[in-house]
Amino acid sequence: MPSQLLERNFASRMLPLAIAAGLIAFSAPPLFYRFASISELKTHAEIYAAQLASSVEEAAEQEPFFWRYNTSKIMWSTSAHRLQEDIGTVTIVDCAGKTVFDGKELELGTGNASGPTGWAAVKVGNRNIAWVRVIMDTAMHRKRYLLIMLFSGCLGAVLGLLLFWFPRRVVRRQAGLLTNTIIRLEKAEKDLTEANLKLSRRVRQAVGAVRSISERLIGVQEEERRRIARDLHDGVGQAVTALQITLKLMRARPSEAKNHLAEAERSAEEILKEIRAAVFALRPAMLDAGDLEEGLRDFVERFELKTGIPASLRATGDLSAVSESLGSLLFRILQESLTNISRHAQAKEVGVTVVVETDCLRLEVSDDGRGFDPEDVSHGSGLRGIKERVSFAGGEMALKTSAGRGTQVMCRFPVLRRGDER
Amino acid sequence: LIVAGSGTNLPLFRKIAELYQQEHPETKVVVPTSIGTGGAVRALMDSAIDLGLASRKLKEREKRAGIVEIPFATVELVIAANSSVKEKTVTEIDLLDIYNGKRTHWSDGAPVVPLIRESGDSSRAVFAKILPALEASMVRAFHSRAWKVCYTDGQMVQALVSIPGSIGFMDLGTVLIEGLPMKTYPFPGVDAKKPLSMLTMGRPEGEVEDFIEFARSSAVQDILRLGGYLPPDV
Repeated sequence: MPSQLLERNFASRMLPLAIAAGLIAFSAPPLFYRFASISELKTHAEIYAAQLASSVEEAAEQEPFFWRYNTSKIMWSTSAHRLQEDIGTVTIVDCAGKTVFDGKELELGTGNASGPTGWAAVKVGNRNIAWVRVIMDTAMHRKRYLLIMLFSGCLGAVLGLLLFWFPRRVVRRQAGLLTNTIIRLEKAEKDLTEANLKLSRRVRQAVGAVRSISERLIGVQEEERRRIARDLHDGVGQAVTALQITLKLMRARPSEAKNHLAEAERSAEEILKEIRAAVFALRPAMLDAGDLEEGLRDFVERFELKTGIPASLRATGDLSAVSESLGSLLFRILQESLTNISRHAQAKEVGVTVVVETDCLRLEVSDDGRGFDPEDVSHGSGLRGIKERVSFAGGEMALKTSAGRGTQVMCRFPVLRRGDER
Repeated sequence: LIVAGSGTNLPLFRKIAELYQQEHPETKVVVPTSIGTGGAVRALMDSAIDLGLASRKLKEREKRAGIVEIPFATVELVIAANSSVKEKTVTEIDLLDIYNGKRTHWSDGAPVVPLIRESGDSSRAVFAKILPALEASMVRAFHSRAWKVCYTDGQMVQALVSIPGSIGFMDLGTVLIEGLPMKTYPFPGVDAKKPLSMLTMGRPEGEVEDFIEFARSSAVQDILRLGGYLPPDV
């Protein structure tokens, strides 16, 4: 875990620092105290020596010769020093280097000469007659030193622990937060990956759908071409063939040409009629003229004439404002629907409704034919084409049918007005 | 001839020295201020003096150093008080109460001023042996500085004479020979005494020997009688 690694790294760096701080806290106070106490003892030693030297001087001035044999009494009389428990030894040495007083005689001092030494000269007139030497005892300070060391040891240990423990605790907490953040980020990354996968799937599906629509459109175009070719072959072709035969007869028998002239004219009219029907099937001229409603109405009427099934168109709203592309789409959907009805529905009546509203356009084609089972895929190719066209235009299609109850195809488009096209 | 040592001996030996010089005008006898028995021993060892004066028995190490002790007399130790003190007697209980601080006034209402000697003093050593409780009080008083401490016989004499209500310890000989104006009371219960002796480095010879003989002769008996000195305990 990153948090544990972070904590371990931090601990390994913090530990020497905490130990160093603890050692400093442990050693600094005793060292400082030792330095200060030695310095203080040195000063005390010099003061005590000076006090004693002063007393000796007084005695020596009174008894210049015998003072040296009376040092015990002199020391007794200078009693102030007896109360100082930090005096180790007191010695008086004359100019010849002979000890004329040793504190041991009076049990003066602790006898432990472990501290600093203070010297003071005993002067009579301008002449040094002796030296007083005081050596201090550090025992009392040693006890304090040990106490301070104990205290500073505890202080150093506590400080070291605090320096190590507190930051480590903070780092542990922050590392925990970091870990949680990392976990959340990992989850977010995982979610994002899944979302990307879903999106990729949908893109692939959309691309597939577009490809399918393109293929379907190509198929429709091919079907349309085949139908035109068939219509030309079956209609125009046969009529042209008949006209050709009539014209050959007229050439072969010029005498009977008058009899065949009327037939030739009929064939020519038939050819023209077939060509017009084919052209209309491709694209009504009304659409190019910009009159959608008239074009749709003309198509419905032609359907009625061609199939003999009564058909009606009800248009509501301003169809003239509908864009050319949406108009073409409506025409194609109507064409497909009516073709389906003529081929399969066995309908007795067909109704077409077009409604233009503020923000949408609805097209509804209904018949009272035999209907079909919507789950039956064999009925689906024409309807699938309609659905794809509607979807391509951003609209929705709904189908309402069942066996024996007719069929209702309902399409809804976001309205696209003239001038909105790019 | 230099004669020096314990302060207890000095008044007596100053008198003896006067008498000796009257008989031996050719000899000048010098008696300096007190240097104590220990000081006399060290001075003898340094040949700084001719005759030492001791008011205690010699220690073994002093004897081993070649010091010869010549017993001379015994002096009585007494309780001494300023002449203003009206008490007729001082009992052991009185002494302990005074030095323990329980009794702070004399019977006439005057304040009591106890005086003590330092612990190395030979008179105090005698009292310590006789009355240990008193010594304990003095030790406490010395360290707490409760009472005034006198470091020489001279200081004690001066304090007892000059401080009203003061009480301390003296040797009777000094008081009597010098006619000091102070009250004395016998130490309660027992005779408190300390030995006086002369000290020489090795066997005495010449003037020193003469002086010793003189001091032990009948010539000084009047002085000894005057001071209430007793023969030495041999």
